[in-house]
Amino acid sequence: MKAIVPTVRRYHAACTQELAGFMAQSPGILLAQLTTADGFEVAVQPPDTAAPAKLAAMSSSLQALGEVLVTESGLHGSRNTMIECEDGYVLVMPVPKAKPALSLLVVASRAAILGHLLWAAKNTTSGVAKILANQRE
Amino acid sequence: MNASERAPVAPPELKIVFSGPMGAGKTTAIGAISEVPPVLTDVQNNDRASCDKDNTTVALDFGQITLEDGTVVRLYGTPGQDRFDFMWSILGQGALGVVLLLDASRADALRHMDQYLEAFAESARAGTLVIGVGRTDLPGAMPLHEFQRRLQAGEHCLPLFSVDVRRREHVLLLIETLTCLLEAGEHGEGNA
Repeated sequence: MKAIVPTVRRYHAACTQELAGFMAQSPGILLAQLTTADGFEVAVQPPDTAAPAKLAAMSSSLQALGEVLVTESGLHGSRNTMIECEDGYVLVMPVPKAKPALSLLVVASRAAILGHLLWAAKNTTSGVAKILANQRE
Repeated sequence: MNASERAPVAPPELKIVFSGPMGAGKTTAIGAISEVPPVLTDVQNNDRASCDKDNTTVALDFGQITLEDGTVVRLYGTPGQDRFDFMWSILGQGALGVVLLLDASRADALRHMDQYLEAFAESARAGTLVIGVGRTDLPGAMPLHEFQRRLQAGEHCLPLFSVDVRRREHVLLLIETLTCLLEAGEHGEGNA
């Protein structure tokens, strides 16, 4: 793992464990990564993921674009951004009330069940939020 | 249908990209001239070691301005950090010109200029790229003639200005220079 900025380095181990649990429970997940809103990776599973820095940057751009598109459309409270493609899904979901702001990036194959994927991703972001809250205390 | 009955012709539209390293003032420049509230994708900057500023752009900035002749110019700002360089080519698609902003107070300002001239090589070669250098008045800042010398060494013939991007007239100068270059070159289509 490279390029962990100091503000999130202390969350790395606990978040990696949370992602490992997410992947173990959910079928079809190829990659799970936590990133800061400005595109730094915090944790990634599997740990040998190629080019995690580039994925982190892209997911933060996607998250930001999703949020601004929601706002410009007169809506509010972006909950996730999902791309469905021929052979799977890409999902970006913000971690609620995280400081610094974090998002979960998930890449899944068609073996994933979409409803389950969304449910498990939401549980994982809640778990990460608890990790951050506990370590702040 | 005769000429007087024809539907009104839509005003011409241009797409211009503002690019440059983090902290060079791209978001500020677009905000200084946009006639619509700019669309921003600024988030908290967690990498203070690279650039000591609170926020950073992670996807794009967007603004719009109508010039005196009715031309609508759509303004797209790129993220400045290298890890977002995938956005440079995305935003550059269909752009007719590039405004490159640099920060003279940074020791690596000339390297940044080289990097972005390479990234937007097509615009640089076509002469549809204007350079605005900020913070030239700060102590220790790189003098403007050093940028000029570097451009000449690279056989680039591109307009170069010292600018304060907080000042609307300075940013407009960059835009108007670029539109003059486009008119002079009669560039119908482009790809920055």
